[in-house]
Amino acid sequence: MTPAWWVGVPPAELPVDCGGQTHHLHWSDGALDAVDHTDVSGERTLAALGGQSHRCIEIVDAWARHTDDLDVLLLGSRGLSDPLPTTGNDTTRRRGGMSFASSTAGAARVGRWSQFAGVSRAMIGSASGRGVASYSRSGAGMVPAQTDSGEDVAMLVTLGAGMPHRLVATVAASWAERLERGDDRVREAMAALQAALYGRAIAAARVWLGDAYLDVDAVMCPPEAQPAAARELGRARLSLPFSWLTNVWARGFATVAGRFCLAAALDGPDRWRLSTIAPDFGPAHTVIIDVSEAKR
Amino acid sequence: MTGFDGELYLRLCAERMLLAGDQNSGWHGPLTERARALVAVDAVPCAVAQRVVDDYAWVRAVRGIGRPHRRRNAARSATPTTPIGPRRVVPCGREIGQSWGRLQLRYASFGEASTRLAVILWFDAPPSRAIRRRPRGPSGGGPPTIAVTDDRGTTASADFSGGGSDIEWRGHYRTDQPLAPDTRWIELLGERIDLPDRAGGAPVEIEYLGRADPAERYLERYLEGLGDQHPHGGSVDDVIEALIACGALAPEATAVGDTLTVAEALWPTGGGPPTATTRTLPQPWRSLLAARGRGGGPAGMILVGATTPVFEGMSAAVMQLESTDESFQIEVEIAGSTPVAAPFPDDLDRVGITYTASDDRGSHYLGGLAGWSGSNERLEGQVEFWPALDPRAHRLDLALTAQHSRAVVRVPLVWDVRA
Repeated sequence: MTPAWWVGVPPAELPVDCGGQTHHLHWSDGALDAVDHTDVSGERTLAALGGQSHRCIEIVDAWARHTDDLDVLLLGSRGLSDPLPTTGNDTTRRRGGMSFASSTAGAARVGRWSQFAGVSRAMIGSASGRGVASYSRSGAGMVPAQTDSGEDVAMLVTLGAGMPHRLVATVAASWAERLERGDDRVREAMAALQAALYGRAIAAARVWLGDAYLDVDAVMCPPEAQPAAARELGRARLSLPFSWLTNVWARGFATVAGRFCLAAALDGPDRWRLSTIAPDFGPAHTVIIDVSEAKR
Repeated sequence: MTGFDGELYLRLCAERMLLAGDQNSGWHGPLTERARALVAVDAVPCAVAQRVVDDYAWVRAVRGIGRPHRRRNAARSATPTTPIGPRRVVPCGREIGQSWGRLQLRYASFGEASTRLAVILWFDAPPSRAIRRRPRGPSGGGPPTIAVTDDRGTTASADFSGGGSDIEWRGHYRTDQPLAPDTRWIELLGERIDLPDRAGGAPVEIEYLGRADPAERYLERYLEGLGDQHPHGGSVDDVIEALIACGALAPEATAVGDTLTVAEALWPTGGGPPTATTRTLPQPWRSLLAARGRGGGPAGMILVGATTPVFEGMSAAVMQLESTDESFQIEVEIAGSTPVAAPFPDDLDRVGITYTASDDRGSHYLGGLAGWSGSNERLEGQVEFWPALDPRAHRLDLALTAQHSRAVVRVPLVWDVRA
């Protein structure tokens, strides 16, 4: 059984200062919700017309714009040994405004735009006075003029509350799926994808073996190949598919009970079957994790 | 280099550096060193390497390390370089007293776009009183703007740039319009200074470096570019490892051993005196390392006044050479759309310059930038060479080397000013 990539990734909540009130962003099942806003589309439209902008909606919209952005994999944390500051939600540290985009990825919860006639382009001061957002109209409705994508990504990967980890998982899932179906975009992105896997696999292996300077090789094997791990001449060598990032790393299964997880599969509702190896790099053994109790 | 993926190699190096976690060592330097080496041997396109370097500078910045960083724009458009025109450089050696102190006019350089006056300003002691009486420059402090007139009646305004202490400033005035290159005199600060007739500058030749092995040539340039300065952040090992990884250099190549020997001699890893044997090294290193620390150079100044034709998108002018007991220095000006005076520019698509010299007695010298200023398209600065100039030498060949060629300025060691 191949579960959706978000199955097994626990929900998370991020408190947000939104117009002077503490709101919450809620992530579950692969989507980010501005749960304190009942009419996201309407409020987005009002903001586009010069009304008050809402931090919750700004973050949700920025998230939607970067669900397949390789920069998220580049900037995001590699693991516990690579902590990032949690400054993304600190509105006083951000410069400039947010840009708005209608979303295709993650459209279930964000990016349902109202049709917007009559506005061709306007520069609108943000309610907070911190900057401007730029809007333009396309055939589909209100579409953002890109402001600074890099600033968006830097904000998202430093949000805190586990949100950046979930965004990395989202992006990894998007590219894992492209790899599996041989999407044309993969060829140009291959070095970045391999680096994204490499850094996170090495970080996990070093945590597993308790050696921050362990000599580790991690190579990306084809999606259909069996993952493997070995020690050769004192050097750990991992061969993992890119989907290890979503199937294992994103779910927090990289190290379990002192073992390194090579692959994870759903083995019934809330029951995971992990293929793991011990630090002696012996044969792989199965570890079963049952999270049904935890979910009650 | 079949099968070598330069982008992947650089990204994986960067990941390892990130995870090494030593935030104080700075891992941007080693990554750039590797990237530059791979670009030099065509193991990765420059734009790709630059992208990786920029990406990981951004990774650093998000983690609060290093400077805020943005990706560079796409490849710089190469605009044709206008060669630096011929110069008339003439000695002046005149001191002019002022209410605030003295100005020494060392030499004047007449170019097509402007006239440059090399000066030393001394302010009267004590500094606190001198400052109150000191004339005010355009920004409210420092040396004043002056007017300079030629024998055709052209008067130009000139601003100072340079540096110094409370009592002494060294630098130059540059006029806002050119004075007549063949003027017989100039006037400034109320005094007329007669200028001697002087023939053209020192002769210049462009030499092509031939088909040497690109990896070995890069290692040579790398050491020359560092001079005796320890590499910032990166190391010779990073460069060698990258060249071996891409297959441009065999691990057992003589150049590897020689480079490591030179590096060990320049920057002993144990912190003690150099222990490596340098007698078997090729030139210029054998001569350089043997004479390291040598003094006894002649004290004086030569006005070189040489300008090069365009080579590798740049043109250079060498204005003067000044020798002291310990070392000698030249003043250079570099113009062009892609080159930069520094040997290892941050931007990988810029051509760096290394500075070497040799004399008619077989001694070799190595130069390093001692200071520079200007824009990306036009830079000027001082290059300091070691060891001290051999006082028995009669001719010095100054070489400004780019990637595939070099300009050699042949300077007769006939002193305009002897100290």
